[in-house]
Amino acid sequence: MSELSISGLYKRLGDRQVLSGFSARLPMGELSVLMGPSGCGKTTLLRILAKLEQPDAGQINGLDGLAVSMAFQEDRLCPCLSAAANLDMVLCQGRAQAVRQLEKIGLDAIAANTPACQLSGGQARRVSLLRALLYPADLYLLDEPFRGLDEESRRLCAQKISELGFSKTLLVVTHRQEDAALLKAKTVVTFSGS
Amino acid sequence: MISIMMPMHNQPNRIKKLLYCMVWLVIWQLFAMVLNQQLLFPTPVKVVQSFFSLAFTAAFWQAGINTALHILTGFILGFAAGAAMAAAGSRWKLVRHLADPPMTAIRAVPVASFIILVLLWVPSRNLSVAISFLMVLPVSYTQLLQGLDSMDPKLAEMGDLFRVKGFRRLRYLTLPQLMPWLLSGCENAIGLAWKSGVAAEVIGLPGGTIGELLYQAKLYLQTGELFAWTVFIVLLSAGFEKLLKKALLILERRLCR
Repeated sequence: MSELSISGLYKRLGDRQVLSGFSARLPMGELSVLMGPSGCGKTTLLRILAKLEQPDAGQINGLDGLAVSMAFQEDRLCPCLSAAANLDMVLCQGRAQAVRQLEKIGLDAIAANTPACQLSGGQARRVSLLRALLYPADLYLLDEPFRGLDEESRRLCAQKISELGFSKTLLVVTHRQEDAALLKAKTVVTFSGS
Repeated sequence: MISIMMPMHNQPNRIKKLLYCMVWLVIWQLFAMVLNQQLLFPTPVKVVQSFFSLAFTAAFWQAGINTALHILTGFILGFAAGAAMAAAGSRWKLVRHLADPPMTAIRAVPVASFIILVLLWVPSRNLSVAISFLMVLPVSYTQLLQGLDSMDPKLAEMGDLFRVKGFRRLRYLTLPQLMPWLLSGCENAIGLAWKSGVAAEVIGLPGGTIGELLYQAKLYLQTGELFAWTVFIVLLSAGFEKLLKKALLILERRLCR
């Protein structure tokens, strides 16, 4: 399968119709960006692709058997565990390796051993993003990966994401035009929920 | 650099606590002296004397060890059973619904009734194990169930997505979130185990235990010894509570590294 095909996706959350027949084709093995204003259903679409939600109707082809990794909109780090422990929990490569990986995205050994609840917003975001990018998967879903990052961290993380985009399928959700430009994505889908 | 100074009256330090205790000891001493009935109400000095004369006998330490072993066995079994039931209750609603009535009943029934009832089925030497078990069970069940219920579902979802399972899930996701409940549950349960366990011994009178010797002291109106045994129970209970708390805090630090 060379593409992920989404057709006629419907999803209602409470009283709100979040997705109304959304359709798109996303090429496999490269980076795609999904753009749209806040609240238009981008996160819901990612959650459906991650199999965390079931659509009310619609079809997704090419998703079966794919291992999925995701950077959630919130960081979802265990607050009392250190940044390195949060990474090690998912990657199972040992604490020392986790510290080395964190250094590559600008978190020194002190920050790596700091409990997640004491990290700054930008640091926590980077840990969360790194966790998703290093997890062995076929499809990477990144929900607002640059939220709360300064320019330097944005560039560093964009580079990491682009590196992975050469071999893996990545879908990055953002509402900022600059982020899409930074990632140099070939496919940009403008999203309105339908 | 910002430094925050705590006002002195917000720092209840050990010296202050000790001073307050001393005040009560002085009141006790004065009251006993005025009453002048050593047989019914000994002075703290007399209690300390009795305590030290008992502490130099082998029976004192043997009774302490016997009682502690029984009560701690009941505590460990009760806590483990409560934890297993809480885990099952958090997973299956049916278990929770089934467990609720007996837990409420155990809480509501007076300890003395339980002791008499259990004495019909269990030999007196194991009575304190059974009673501590019964008293600890609902405390650990309720605390740990509350802890499991209040765990962050978003973190659980993250764990599911990244396939964090088995021991890793317990080590990284469950235990760190459960630690506050585990700590307060243990703290409440250990005190309860000691109180109910010694009460069971006083009623069941198993040989060579604190309960038996406490009862004998009452029988022969050795009030100084009666108070001394009580002090020993309080010291043992507080000591084990502190030890347990320290062990759990070390575990918490290791888990949260």
